[in-house]
Amino acid sequence: MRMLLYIGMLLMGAFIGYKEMAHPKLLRGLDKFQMAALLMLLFVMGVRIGVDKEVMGAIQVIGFKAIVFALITISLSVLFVWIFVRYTNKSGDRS
Amino acid sequence: MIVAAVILGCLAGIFIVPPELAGKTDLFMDIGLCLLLVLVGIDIGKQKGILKEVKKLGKSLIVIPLLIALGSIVGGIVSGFIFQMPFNEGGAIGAGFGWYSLSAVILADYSNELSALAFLTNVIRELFAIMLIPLIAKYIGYAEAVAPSGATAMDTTLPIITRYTDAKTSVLAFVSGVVLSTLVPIVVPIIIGL
Repeated sequence: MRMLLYIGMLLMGAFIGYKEMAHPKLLRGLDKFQMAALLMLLFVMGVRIGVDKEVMGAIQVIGFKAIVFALITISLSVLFVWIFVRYTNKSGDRS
Repeated sequence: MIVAAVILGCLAGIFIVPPELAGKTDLFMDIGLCLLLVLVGIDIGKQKGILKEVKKLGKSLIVIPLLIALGSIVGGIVSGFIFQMPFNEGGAIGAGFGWYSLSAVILADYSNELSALAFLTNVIRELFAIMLIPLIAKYIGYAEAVAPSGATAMDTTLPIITRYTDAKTSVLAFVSGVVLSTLVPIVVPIIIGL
């Protein structure tokens, strides 16, 4: 359900962008507007983590373990994609 | 600035915001996220050659998400090994792919301790992804910058990827997020059952 909502929102935006229906003023300010919305969203995300007593309690007990897990899973994901990109040498380059 | 926003939010959550108010942020988050996704869509749509670019990605569009999944699961097993955990427990945590709520719920049946670790690991993965995406995009490559996000590449971290890479990579990120999100409820139970 949620996934459909996200896809719908993206497609709606893509349609607006493609058909040039967006106001030129909005287009020029798109970057700033996007950044403002993003920062707000990240702030609220932070609030939700900070206010959650269970998460904050868990961080003190298993925080180190979780950080190691997060770092190693991210690193290997990046490494595998890196190897693939170097091997196929067509996607991922900044062309 | 991105990291500062999260940290400030955390601090506000700990010291200022009353817990009752935080429960009401769900709708706000949904609206904010939808707005951002429309903006990201506009960004992608206004680049006319994008469909051709995406077609050029071809099989990478599906291989890259699968490699991200594999890296996460192997990473989970390796991490589990460090803490002397059985490989299925470590692997299952890695297979959360950053989707903390779902992986924690699935693992709650198995053990509360593991569920808590899955939750926290994947919360921290999302935070690290937010911090690392701009750096990886700059110093390693655009496709690699999609990897830290895992399942969150279709929602919370997508705007960051859009900002620091290009339209083609944004499409790759979204597809990758959808693939990984679909895999979480399938792969986590399989791995923990091994």
